[in-house]
Amino acid sequence: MDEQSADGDDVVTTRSELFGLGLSYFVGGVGVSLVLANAEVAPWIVILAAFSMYSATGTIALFTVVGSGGAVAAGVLSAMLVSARFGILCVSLSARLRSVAAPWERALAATVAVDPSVAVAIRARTDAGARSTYWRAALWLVGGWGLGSLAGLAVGNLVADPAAWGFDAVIPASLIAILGNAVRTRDAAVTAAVAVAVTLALAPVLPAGVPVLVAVGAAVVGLFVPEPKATA
Amino acid sequence: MTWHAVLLSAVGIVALRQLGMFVLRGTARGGAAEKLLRLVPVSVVAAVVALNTLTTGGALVVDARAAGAAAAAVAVWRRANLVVVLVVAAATTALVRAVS
Repeated sequence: MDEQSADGDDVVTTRSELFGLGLSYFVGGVGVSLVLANAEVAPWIVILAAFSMYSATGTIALFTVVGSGGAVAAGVLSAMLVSARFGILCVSLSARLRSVAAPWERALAATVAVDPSVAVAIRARTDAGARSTYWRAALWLVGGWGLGSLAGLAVGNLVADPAAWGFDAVIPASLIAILGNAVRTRDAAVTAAVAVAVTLALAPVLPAGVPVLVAVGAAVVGLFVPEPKATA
Repeated sequence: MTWHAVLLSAVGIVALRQLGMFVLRGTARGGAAEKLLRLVPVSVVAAVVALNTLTTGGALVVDARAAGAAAAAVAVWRRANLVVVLVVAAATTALVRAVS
């Protein structure tokens, strides 16, 4: 690691960048909570999911599988598989926090680790800078997410017919945005295409929840695709 | 009844995060294991998008949701801002529903 000035000045995010992160998580929280409320999930369960899982994709995977009639075990497994990337993020974060944060602080950092906070933190030159950048970003993201989840419930109560406004399209659209970033490498693009094909082929013939789990096999196919950047 | 599914998922996800922080450390970086961990979420997200936009109760259905998803894909491809992507998707879905 860099051993330059270990002061807190090495913060690589601007206030407007942090605000942008918070806003994007606020919008995400609104979307997830609106869709769950629309699917008749109890408000307290929406909030429980927002704060205990702290994973938009995990929450959506769980409720897509369970909501379509799949087994709880299949839903939980799907939520965990989609959240496997947080494990990798924490490996990167661990390398930067090990020398500057106590174990309890690292455990807390891992619990709230999401893609944007880890991405901005590891840009810092020093480990101390990574730590303060990380907590700043994490605070904005958790705050945005929590407020958005609450706001989504409120909006859900006000809007009589969310489907007429196309609110349910927000979830797949945000997942497509996540995929859009991922599939810029060829192996990820192949993985996504195979997963879609497998899911659509199996959905009519297998019990709900099972096609998603079979589609994970697409990642093994992607493993054999060379990694160089796709042309996109 | 759903709350225990939520808590089970939460415990699993926290465990994955702590695994990365305290157990895997440098060992999982680079190589096939890291690549697989990067691709597994891609496969699940793609599968969930397919289910959310093209199926209803196990049957393949093409409706306003597919139009919204297609519009979102175009917006993402044109590198639009996330908020723009979401608005385009919702508006397209609402429009197709209104006219069909």
